[in-house]
Amino acid sequence: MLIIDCPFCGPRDEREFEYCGPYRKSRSDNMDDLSASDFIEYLIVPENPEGVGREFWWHKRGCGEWLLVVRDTKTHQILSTAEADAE
Amino acid sequence: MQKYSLYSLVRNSFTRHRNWSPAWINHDLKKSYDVIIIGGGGHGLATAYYLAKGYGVTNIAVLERGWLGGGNVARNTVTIRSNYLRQESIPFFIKSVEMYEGLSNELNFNLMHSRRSMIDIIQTYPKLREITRKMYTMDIFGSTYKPISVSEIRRRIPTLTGGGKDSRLPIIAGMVHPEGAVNRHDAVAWGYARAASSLGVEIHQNTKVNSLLKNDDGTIRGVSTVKGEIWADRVAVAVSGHTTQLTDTVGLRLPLRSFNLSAFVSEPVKPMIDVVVNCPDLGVYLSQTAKGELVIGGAPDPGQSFRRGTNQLVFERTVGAMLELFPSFKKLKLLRQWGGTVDIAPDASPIISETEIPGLYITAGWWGGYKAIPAGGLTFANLIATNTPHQLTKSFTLDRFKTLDYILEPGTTTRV
Amino acid sequence: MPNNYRLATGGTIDRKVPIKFTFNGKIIEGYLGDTVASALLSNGINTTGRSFKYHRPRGIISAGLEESGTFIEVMGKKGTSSVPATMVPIEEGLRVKSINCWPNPNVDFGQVLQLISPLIPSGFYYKTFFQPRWKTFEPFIRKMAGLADIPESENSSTTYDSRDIHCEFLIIGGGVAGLVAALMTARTGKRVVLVDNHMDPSGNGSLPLNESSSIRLWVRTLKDELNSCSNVRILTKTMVWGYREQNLVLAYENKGIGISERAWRIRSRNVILSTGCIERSLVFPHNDRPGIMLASGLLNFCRNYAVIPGDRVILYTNNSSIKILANTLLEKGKEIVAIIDTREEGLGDYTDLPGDITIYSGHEVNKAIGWNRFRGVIASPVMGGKSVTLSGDLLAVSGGWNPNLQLWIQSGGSFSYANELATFVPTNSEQNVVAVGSLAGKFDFAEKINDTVQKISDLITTSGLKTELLQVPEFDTLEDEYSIRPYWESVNADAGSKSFVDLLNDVTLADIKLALREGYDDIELVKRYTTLGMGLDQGKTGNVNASGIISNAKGKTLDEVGLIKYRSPVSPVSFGVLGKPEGEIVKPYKTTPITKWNRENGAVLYEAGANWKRPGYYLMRDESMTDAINREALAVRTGLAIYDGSPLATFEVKGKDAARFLELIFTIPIHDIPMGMGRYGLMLTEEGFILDDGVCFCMAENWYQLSLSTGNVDLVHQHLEKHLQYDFGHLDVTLTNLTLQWMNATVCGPKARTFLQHFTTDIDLTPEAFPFMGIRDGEFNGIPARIARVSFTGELSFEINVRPRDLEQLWGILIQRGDNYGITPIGSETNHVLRVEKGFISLGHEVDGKIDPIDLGLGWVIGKRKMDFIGKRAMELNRTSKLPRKELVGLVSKDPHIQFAEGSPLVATEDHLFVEGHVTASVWSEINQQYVALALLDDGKKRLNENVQVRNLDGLESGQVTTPCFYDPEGKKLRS
Repeated sequence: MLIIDCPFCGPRDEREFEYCGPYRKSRSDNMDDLSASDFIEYLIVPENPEGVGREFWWHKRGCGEWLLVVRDTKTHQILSTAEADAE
Repeated sequence: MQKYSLYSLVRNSFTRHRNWSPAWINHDLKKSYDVIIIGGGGHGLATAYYLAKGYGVTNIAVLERGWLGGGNVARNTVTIRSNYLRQESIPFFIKSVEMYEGLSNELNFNLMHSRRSMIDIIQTYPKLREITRKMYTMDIFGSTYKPISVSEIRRRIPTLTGGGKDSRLPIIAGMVHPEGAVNRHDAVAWGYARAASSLGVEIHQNTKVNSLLKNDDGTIRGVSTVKGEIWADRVAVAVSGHTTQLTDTVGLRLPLRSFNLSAFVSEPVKPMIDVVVNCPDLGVYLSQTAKGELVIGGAPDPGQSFRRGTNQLVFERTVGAMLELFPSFKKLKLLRQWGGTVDIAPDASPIISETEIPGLYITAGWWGGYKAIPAGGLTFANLIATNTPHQLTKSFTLDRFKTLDYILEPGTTTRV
Repeated sequence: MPNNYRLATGGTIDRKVPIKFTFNGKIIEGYLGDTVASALLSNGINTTGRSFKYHRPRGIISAGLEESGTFIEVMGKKGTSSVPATMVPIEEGLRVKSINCWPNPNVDFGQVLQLISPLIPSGFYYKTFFQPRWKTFEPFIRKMAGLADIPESENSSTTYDSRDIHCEFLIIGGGVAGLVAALMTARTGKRVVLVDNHMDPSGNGSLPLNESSSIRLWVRTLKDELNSCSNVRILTKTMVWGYREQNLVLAYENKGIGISERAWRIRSRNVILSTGCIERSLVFPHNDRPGIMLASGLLNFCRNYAVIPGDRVILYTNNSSIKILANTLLEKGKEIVAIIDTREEGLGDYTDLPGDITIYSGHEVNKAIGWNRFRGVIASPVMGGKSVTLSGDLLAVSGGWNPNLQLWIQSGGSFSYANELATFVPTNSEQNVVAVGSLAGKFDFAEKINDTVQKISDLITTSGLKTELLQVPEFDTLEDEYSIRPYWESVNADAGSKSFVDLLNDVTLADIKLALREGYDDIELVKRYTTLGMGLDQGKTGNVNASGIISNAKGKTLDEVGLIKYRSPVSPVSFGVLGKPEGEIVKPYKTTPITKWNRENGAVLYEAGANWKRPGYYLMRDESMTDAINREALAVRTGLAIYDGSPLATFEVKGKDAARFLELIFTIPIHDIPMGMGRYGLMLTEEGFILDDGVCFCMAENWYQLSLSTGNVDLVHQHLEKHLQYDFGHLDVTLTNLTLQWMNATVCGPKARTFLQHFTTDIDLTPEAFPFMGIRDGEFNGIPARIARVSFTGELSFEINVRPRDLEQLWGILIQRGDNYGITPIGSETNHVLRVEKGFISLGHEVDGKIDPIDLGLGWVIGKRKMDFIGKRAMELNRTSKLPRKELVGLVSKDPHIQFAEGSPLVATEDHLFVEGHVTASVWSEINQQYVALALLDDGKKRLNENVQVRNLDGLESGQVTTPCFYDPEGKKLRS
């Protein structure tokens, strides 16, 4: 049961959030620009670090913002939480 | 190998059991082997055994980073079954269940295999539809699902008093899978280790592999361990949960995510449930061990994890689900809980495959891989020995991801 | 002769309040304040249980949670499963019984197992009873297994709840270090929580102290000040059992047997662990005989319950802490037969003990004598020599002290072996947690206090708070400095006798050695092979001994051997407090505004996705479900029907870039949807899976409304938000979920228009003004409404959307005025039948795995000129696969009355071992008077009119492949 420090609402209980998968780059406007192997990598080869990793959480029962959470997969400590911005 | 039997047990009791020989032999690490298997768990040890027994490959090192059988083979809920939906999966799991049934005698190690039946408790119509479809498909290949009435469920599982007509999710149907079984998990690892060792396989505990090594031509060269480099033309990775940690070291990126899957046991109580009870709508399943403990499992944690702990939220939901169907268990007590790391492919089906690095093989993506140990070991051994996928696992290769040909078993949800 | 082992004075029991309870049916008398254990001992009842495997007689070992000798079952309304006898306070009428014996602990038939005990060392079952004999043997093993029965829970008086609290400082353990820490942190004014196992934080250290009055007085002042702090919450009789990430601490409050139990989830910025130590036993032959106790247990019984269950006491130790017990026993007038100390002469200083006590220095116990009552020991010099036989009726043992590391380790903390203490102590922490007191290896009283004061003031300072120094007086302590020589096993032990390391699971020294001999040489392998430390007590008193034994045998250091991994919980916790069923209160159904009407009109309601409870069909008089569905279906096809479509998911998408966003979300082109019109489309995931289907309406420029399926609303919402906020964050779009704001009544059937034209409305309902797929805002019979001409049934259909408050009125008037038309309410089952007749897909049926829009014959929903949409690339990639496509087809039998079972596979090849598809839906079509089915079939579209084999459990049926539409294929009806 994590406490996630929402940058907009402050520290809140995990139950207010939905886990929404590992970080991936924001989608390009036209997927056809990617080669097949780059597309597969984008689509199904996620980061899987044993240690500090990035993932998305949606503050569904709060402000509704899409968040990028940096969390250690070994200790479950959360290092930072921010609005998920497309590059 | 010293033979185990009632006779040998009686004979050894006269010498106060002082003359039992070690179940496996310790060796010094050599510089090179024909095959290196990384991971001394169920799949790794079974693979070594079948390579030695069926393919005459005995110059094998099994490298285990901790203690033998200390990974997921030590951390699962020992549920063995073949109730799958896809024709790509069913024959494989049927084979595995059959192999388990004869394994105690084959390994001369009593795994306490107990064919108990598994009963699925159905509480929603979509689940009933899915499970009915499974029933028809399984029947083709010889795995059994038999519908039973709600009153028959309650007769066979008297402690299941929840899920009545007025409850939130009334029980509407049940399905019996007679092949469902449980056994003793540690014994599976030990039995394979002992048998493999007697065939000449070397098992090296406390030998963590830090990285894989490639030759200049891109083929596999061996591994770098805490005890130095070891070479082999064929390296097999069987390290459930940590596969990508190894393959990343040679730049091989795999579609796997690691999750923590936890389970727990109650204090031991007198026998009251003699089947494996699975409640897919609520997300909990349980069985009772020979010792009397209830073994209970639920869903994996949300979010990737290597912690091998228990997510309190998932745990509380699992307990809640159990109490919904078994209200009398609220007086029972939690005795122990633990977690294990599994890696899951996008389609949640297993991967037994060669890789783009010649000589490097992986078995991964096992989510519920305990039941697959015998057939997984056999087919992986076949792949390593012949460089050709076994008939039963030809759909489980990495190639499927190139065209997104997922093998989607129900219970795996559409991800967004 | 009740209470004959009770001292005349002393203890915290109330001698004025005698209490009677029953133990195995026998009436026992004790006093208020007694536990079952102290009451039994005061009555001279020593054999109180039988062991798990060998059914050896067992007594009471300790006075606390670490008890490994006697577990009992509480009977009746307050029933519990196995609990330590030391943890159950007695009360009038309490009924308890021993576990694991029959008929009672003194005469137990299970003890025949002791006869074959040489045959059943650890792991014996791995070596024998192979198939087929295992089948015969297994039921017998299972019957012997388990401890208590599951307690009755009908009429149980126990209640369960849970609470969350947050604080700045959490102190676990109310010993003296805990009190010091609590008081110092309390003075910061921040929220402080102190959790303690007992009725009252004892303020005692774990290691025994002489009853020094100066310490007692000082502890009293600490407690008084703490009790007066309004920012401090003290949870008593509460056991912390779990320690998770982010300093989430889990506790279990249990004020008494069968009353109320509570789970606490405590989140604290800082945690101070002062969980103290537990005494460990010594390993020697027959160390499990009733009458052999831990020294700390005996001292506790003596001080708190005024019970000393023997007259002639032998003490056995390897450390200095037992001297306090010796002093206490002498004070109480008991005879000490001898003190046996494994340390050589000069290491244990007993010169200051009063009287003339025989000290056997450098001696060990070779064997305890007695069967179900301890009668004495045979002891001999460690270095070899002549043995002596000593008789006595009570043996108190101390093997040293172990910090209670369970919570520390759960928190992620590391530990190492401290030679001078001969045990493991905490080293580095992972979270915001500090260990203080004897847990931190501070066994000496003054050192413990000073260390705690220092650590806590550091902690307060690092927290940015002001610390106030605690006045610590000079104490007149009398204890020797703690000293110990580890003694892991007897050197000259009697070889044929069992020396227990784990009493609860009957694991002996020989078992551990057998495991090591057979190659199970890691401590975790030893644990699993022998079941060491896997009992109810998780080996609290035995595990460090096991590490020591392995270290001796393997010639490894104790740090190399390590410690058996402790797993939560620290002690067992009732499932009742750990989870709540998701009943009506926690996860209620959603219902629509006309649920009351539905119930009164024969609706059979059940869950139909996303927690909505809605009618499946409406039963009239005594008709069957099939009759009802056929009647309803015919009403839609030939007359007039009404359907409550409120649960449909509705989203509103607005903004300058709304169309661009939706182009990426949907498979269909959006920009050319005319205003006031809608278009059917699919939504895919990026992986190419069909996520949902529905209609996108253009309400006005830059304003769209999506009408989607009920069941997937949560996933779809997440999907939309993700792409909107992250992938396409630069677009000017706002998204609002209006699912619960729009309710609807769908009027359908060939007579729908004629019927609706009777009502006053400013919306022109003629086909010219309001074509199929149109949407109009206006008033309907005085109610603000948004009417859409979409159809899930294949008939002329008007979906009248209104505010939730208006639906009941709308529904009422439609039903009332529709009477002349025979208006028929229909449920979702009928809706499903009509969809299948038309070949309209349902997500739960026709969408299976990697089915894509083209497979479903919906290739037309993919706009020809579309550049990109979510899932397009994956779909195209998947289509390069060599595997055949599963395509949607219709399926009928020659015999109209043969139904293909839903879910049954279509099989090919001669042996029929290849699945080439399956029946996705199969219904009776009342309008066609035949069964019709939809199926997914390999390359199905090319196989029209072919015969395929449908396999069910009885064999094969032949089916003919058709186009997936059985009614009005041109779609004239719905467009009419």
